[in-house]
Amino acid sequence: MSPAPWLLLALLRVSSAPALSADPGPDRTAPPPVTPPEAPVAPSVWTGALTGPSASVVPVWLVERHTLPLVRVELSFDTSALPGPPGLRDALGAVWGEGTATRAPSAWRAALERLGADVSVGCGAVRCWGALDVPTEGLAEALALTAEVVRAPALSGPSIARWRRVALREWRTDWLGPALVHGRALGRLTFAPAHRYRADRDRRAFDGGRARVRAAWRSVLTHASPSVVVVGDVTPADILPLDAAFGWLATGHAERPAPRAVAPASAVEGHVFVHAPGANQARVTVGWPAPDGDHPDRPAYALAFRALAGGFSSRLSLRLREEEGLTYRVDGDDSVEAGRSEVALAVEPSRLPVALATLASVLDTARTGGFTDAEIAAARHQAWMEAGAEATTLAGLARGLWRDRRAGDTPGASLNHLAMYRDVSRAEVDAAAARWLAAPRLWLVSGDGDELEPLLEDAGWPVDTRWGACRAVYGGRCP
Amino acid sequence: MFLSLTVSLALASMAPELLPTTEAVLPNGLRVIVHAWPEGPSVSLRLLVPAGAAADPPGRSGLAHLVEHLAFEGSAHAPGNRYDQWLAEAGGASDASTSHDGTLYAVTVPPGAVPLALFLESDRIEWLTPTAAALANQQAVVANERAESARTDQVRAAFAPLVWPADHPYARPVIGVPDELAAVTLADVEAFVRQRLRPAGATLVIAGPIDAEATLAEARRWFGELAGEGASVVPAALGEAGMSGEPDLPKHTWRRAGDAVRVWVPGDVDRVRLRIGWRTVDRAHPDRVALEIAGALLADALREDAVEVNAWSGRFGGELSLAADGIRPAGVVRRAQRAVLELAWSGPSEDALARIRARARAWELRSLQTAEGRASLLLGCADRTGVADCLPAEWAARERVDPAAIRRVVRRWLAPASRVLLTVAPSSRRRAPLPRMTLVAPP
Repeated sequence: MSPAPWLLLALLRVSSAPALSADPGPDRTAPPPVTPPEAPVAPSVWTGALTGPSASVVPVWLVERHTLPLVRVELSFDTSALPGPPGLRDALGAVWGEGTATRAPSAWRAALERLGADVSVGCGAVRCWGALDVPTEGLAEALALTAEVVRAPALSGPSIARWRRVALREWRTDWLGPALVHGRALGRLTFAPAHRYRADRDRRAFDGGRARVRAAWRSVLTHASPSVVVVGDVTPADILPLDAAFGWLATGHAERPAPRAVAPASAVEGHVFVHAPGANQARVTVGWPAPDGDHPDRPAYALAFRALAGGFSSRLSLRLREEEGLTYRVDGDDSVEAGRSEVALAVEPSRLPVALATLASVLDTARTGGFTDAEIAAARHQAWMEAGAEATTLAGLARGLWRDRRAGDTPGASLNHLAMYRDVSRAEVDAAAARWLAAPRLWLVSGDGDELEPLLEDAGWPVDTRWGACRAVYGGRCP
Repeated sequence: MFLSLTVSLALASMAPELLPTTEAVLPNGLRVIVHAWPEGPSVSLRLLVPAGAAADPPGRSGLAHLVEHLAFEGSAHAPGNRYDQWLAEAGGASDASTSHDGTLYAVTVPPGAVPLALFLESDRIEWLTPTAAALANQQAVVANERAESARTDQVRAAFAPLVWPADHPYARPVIGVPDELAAVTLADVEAFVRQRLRPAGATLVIAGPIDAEATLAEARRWFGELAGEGASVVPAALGEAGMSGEPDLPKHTWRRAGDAVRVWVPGDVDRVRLRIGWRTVDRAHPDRVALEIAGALLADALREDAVEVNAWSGRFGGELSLAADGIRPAGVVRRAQRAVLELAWSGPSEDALARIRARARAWELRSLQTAEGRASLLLGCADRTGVADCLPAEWAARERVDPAAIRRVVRRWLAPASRVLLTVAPSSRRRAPLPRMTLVAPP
């Protein structure tokens, strides 16, 4: 067996390496000094518009990035004002990128792939979007293909039937899956009926046939406001093909609701237990109202939540994972738009009482005692690093610009917003933590009730209600 | 064809300066690869220690993964949780993962914190200080990690021993089996750290807005004083060494049809899961690239069935597998068999090959948008081929794969005779009927 080329290279390098001097080596008694990261800076954004034949004006934002021969074009429809069950949006998201009226899905995909291009599509509570990633040379041809699927998506019967099969299977399977149950329960208990974040879903959401899906797409095209973000190796002069591709779009006229979330439907302390027979772990989620993006507490609260639950170095992770060995990870989710925070973890069933007590204790300590300067510095720097990293990729940059557009802000506002973290003081962070961590919390626990209910009762969570597949602990409602 | 060629030429024209590197091998055997990329906002450091689960000693499966966890629990000059704390205060983030072939430590920091990252990484390689308390704690953490992915792990745990011989390291789960994991002692950990968590054979890649020469000097400064004894590289002979202990499989029923292995396993899964697999070639084998392309062609052919195709090659072998969850197995097996046979008999069209090449190149190009993506590509190349910037060579290798090459590797490696078929069904279900298989040997 002959030696690997890199081993030969290694030997050559070793033989030619200078002899080590009497260098005593680096000083390891203290960590080397660091220069912290800077706040991210918003990119320079060119703003323009597509002018369509019906005098519609579709806004276009463009950021030039010439480091790689790549372009991303992201077409978004603001669908937050459109009616329709969430399942129907899922259907659109799944099938509108599957071929056109004149091209079979495989032929359409093949035509894109020959260009090295990729189109990804989706539909959710607030937008339907289609993103084209393509090497610069193929932009014009790929745009024409993308426009084809926007103007006349196949929305074929077999595609919709396949989507329904898959969606129903997952829906049935995940119905008692801990993550989905907890998400659904939190949505129901913290958002008012008909609020778009409740994401209620039942079997009827999957009943849409071809006609219903097509009607939904027509509704998106005519009533949802479109916008285009272009980022990458292009200049404003290069995007003339956009007019041909999307200039026909109407601007829509649906009134978009204010981005601010409505008040939580439930503002009382609650405990809900969901019986999941045979579950090998107990899953805990605790959620509480948080300041939304427009609230003056938002920058300070964001730093507090990061210090509390943002990753492996957060206070909750250090305590629950590193000190107590209670869980593999602590997931923290701080939704700016929804105005809600939640923390989730999974534990070995017998350790559930300890986990609940420790979790509550850490939240209360943060509320009453605040955070250290080091914790706040870490939260601030990590926020900047993450935002800077997101703005490095074309997809991340486009996503950030869309957020700005939807919020009605100037381009790059969300990155500039992060710079405000620089001026947030420790007293402000502690005050935000004291205010918001004092809010009523909603606790959700799922697992095998036969094993967990006695433990919960011992821990002072008496089980007094049974409701179908759910067994609700006091104060709660079956989700 | 013309358009595909255009994309190829455009990317090929970048090739000479795609990922320029400055490299050195330190006297202790650590290979350092530095890539200066002025546009990035952060610096990515990726250290690959080629001692993964294949290096687990007999009766101690999961040890390498457990050591990966313990590497965050304190070293002599960064005790306790200082690693996480100091890195976080600097704005950095870290992660780690263990495979059969190695353990990867990945750090992302702002440019002004590169010395800190080098200090922390080198310290835990040379002066890791595992304690009994930390070990017990991380054994509990790993038990929770295992429980979180129990359903998917269970399918893999049933499938791997069918594809791989019982004593092959790839037959064992990286995360270990519960009894062996619980039996790990501090002495086991210390021995593994002493023998395997070593700079010799390891590779460190640093990519980002840095001065290449200055960063290389900084890496020499922090890693140069590490001792050279021991070797993280697992010799093939050790990798093939037997592993003791009972397989962590649910009770299952074996059936044989012809010479293809078929197994039905009732398990704690939420829906029927189908796996079809073949043992293929290691990463140094000349058929690797053609098999990867064959995998992509099969994925295209089975797109309508939402079948996931995974073709990979490691240090000790490779695998091509198809996974379909929640779909009636019989139909998928029939269509998969037809797709394989079509590749074996007719081969793909030139157009299909061109699309696969263009798609792969575009994906690689997109991954160059971040320091992490660049470091990952460089490390993968260096580990797989010995050459850090191997993309131009990979693209050339893909160009050489023609329809005849696909026909040849499919006939050679994806023959029905060597196929393994596994169905895992929820325990409550009655035994699912297995599809009838027609064993047609390609010419």
